[in-house]
Amino acid sequence: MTVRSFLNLEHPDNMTTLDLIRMALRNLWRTRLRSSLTILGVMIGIGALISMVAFGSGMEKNISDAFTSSGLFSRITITPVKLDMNRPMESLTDTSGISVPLDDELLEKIRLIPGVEEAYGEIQQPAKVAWKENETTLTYTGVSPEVGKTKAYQNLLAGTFLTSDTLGQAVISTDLLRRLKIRIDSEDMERAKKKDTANIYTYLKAEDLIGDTLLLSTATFHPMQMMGALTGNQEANPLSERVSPLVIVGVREGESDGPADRSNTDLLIPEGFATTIPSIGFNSITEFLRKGSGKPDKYATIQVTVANPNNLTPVRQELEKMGLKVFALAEQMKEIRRAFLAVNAVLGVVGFIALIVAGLGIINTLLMSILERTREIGIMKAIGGSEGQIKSVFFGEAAVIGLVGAIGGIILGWLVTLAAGAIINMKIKEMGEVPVDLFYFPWWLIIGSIGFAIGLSLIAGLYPAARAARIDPVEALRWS
Amino acid sequence: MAFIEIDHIRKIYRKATVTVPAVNDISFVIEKGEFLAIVGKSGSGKSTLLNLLGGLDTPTSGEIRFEGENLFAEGKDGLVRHRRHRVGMVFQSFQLIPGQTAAENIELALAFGGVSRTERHTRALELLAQVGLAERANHYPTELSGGEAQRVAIARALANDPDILLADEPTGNLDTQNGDIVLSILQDLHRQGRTIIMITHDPDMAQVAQRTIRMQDGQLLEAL
Repeated sequence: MTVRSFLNLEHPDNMTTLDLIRMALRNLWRTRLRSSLTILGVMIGIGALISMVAFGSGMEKNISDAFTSSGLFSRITITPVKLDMNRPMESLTDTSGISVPLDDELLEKIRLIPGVEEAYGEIQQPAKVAWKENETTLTYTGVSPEVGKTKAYQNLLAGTFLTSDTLGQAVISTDLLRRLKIRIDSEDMERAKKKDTANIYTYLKAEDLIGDTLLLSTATFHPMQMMGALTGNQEANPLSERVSPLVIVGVREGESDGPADRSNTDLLIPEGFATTIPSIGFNSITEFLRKGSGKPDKYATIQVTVANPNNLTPVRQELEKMGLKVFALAEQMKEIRRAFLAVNAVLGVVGFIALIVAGLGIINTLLMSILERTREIGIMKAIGGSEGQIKSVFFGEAAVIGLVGAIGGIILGWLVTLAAGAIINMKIKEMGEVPVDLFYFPWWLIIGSIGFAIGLSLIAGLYPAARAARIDPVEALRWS
Repeated sequence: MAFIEIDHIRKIYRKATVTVPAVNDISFVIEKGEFLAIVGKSGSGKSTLLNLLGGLDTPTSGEIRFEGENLFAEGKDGLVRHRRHRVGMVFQSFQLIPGQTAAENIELALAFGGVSRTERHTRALELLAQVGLAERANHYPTELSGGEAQRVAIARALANDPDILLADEPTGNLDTQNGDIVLSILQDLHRQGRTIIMITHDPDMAQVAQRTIRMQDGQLLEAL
């Protein structure tokens, strides 16, 4: 069943769509003030709908683009299997589920999985880091200089990535600098300095830090000394500290958003160098327990990248089969997308309500028009117009209102988002952040809103058109 | 078989509790090519009869047969076809569509009648020339005199070349001079072979008709 037969529109070849549109335009022109107000209603409805949805789409796009460009979508992270501390004590030494240590042997195996682009391990240890008199604690990460080629580490502000595997080099993030009371925000330096009345911060350019030295303090644990301490030897200290100097080779953008957040990648040092630093020996009770039962983890995490995002799922499944605990952000993104769908739906509903109001406006306008043109409808019937043709005339008017309203609404919505985007980005710049495209108009939104507006207009035209078609010509011709 | 057979036609209007028989059991025949005048006071039911003949209204009971075929047998579709092709109607108050020019008013009737887009305008101009108004094609109804407007209305009634012209007091709103012009056009159309059925309250106008029937209280009073 076609739409036309459903609407019972008689539409012979002689009365073409063009005729209908011409007639509709003419009738709308006759009552131009009322028509333009009705069209304005549709424009506002469509404008509200598309700017709302464009805002939601823009947020989603910004987040997903950020992830894509950072390479996080093509990355799988392998972490050691965590022990369930609620399980009975004896099962903690059950190593069946944690039998695969994260070491070079595993790395080689992973590199052989089809679809894997690169796999590299990260050594992570707690430490204290000092620059001049300022110090902070963190977890540093030891990585191969090779990983500097991956997307995730392309955000250098100054200097280079690690150039050697064995030298004491450091790539530090802006987040870490902030914790070390160093500011390199070049743009608002003057203003920041004025606010900083207590002179807490040191103000530098990122380039000035290259070649400077950081002091990394790590602790190491001596089991024998521990025994001594337990047996009452006052001299025995199971913990000793070692300080390693690190030359800053690069400064990179921090990965966290707020000042309180910190990331394990705030301090990157060469993997080879990291293995020479005596460490406390284990990160966790898991590692401690595993030391007694099997081979230790060399790496805290293993990062696996895939060349093609489509390979992500098969690679992940392969890794899971090997008994590894894996995490892939791309798969989390499905959840995020679902959340955005909900956000878009809510934003869409607000715009939809505006359109419903516009639809009522169309009904009102057409009913008024029918009242005024009752006699005309009678004449049309008397000279051979069928009910279907009379319906078509009013549907034509409704469709023109919808189409003009939709195109106008898209332009209106676009202008509004342009203005809103400019104002918001001005504020963002004042805060010293990078401006973003807040709104995004996917093609389906444009096509969809035109279709939706015309559809809504036709639905709004249903009742008035049926009413017009039912007018009794004898009564109508008597109308004055 | 007569051209038009009006067979025990009855139209009763129900208003609240009272029923008003506007046309009350009328039967007569009209021959092809006849010029018939229907006279009677207002409220005599003559307009209701004309609307029934024009397929604008449906009877409470009875039939009207055109060449043996009951007009009301096929419901709305049959009535639409009847109005499009078999009859043309002319009214006392012209009934032109105000927002459209003389030519466009005629073109709309042509469109309903199935004439293609390209032919419509040419045909409309021919029809206007036929009633002597070729130069008024692009004028709006408000810019036309009463006589001109009624001639445009006649041209429109002829758009789809109907056999029958139904005229409801066509000269009622016109002065004598314009009334005479309209009347002579109707006479011409009659001479060309069309069946003309005209309502009038003016006995002089009825003179031009071949036959006059008089109505009173919804019934045929006499055949003159």
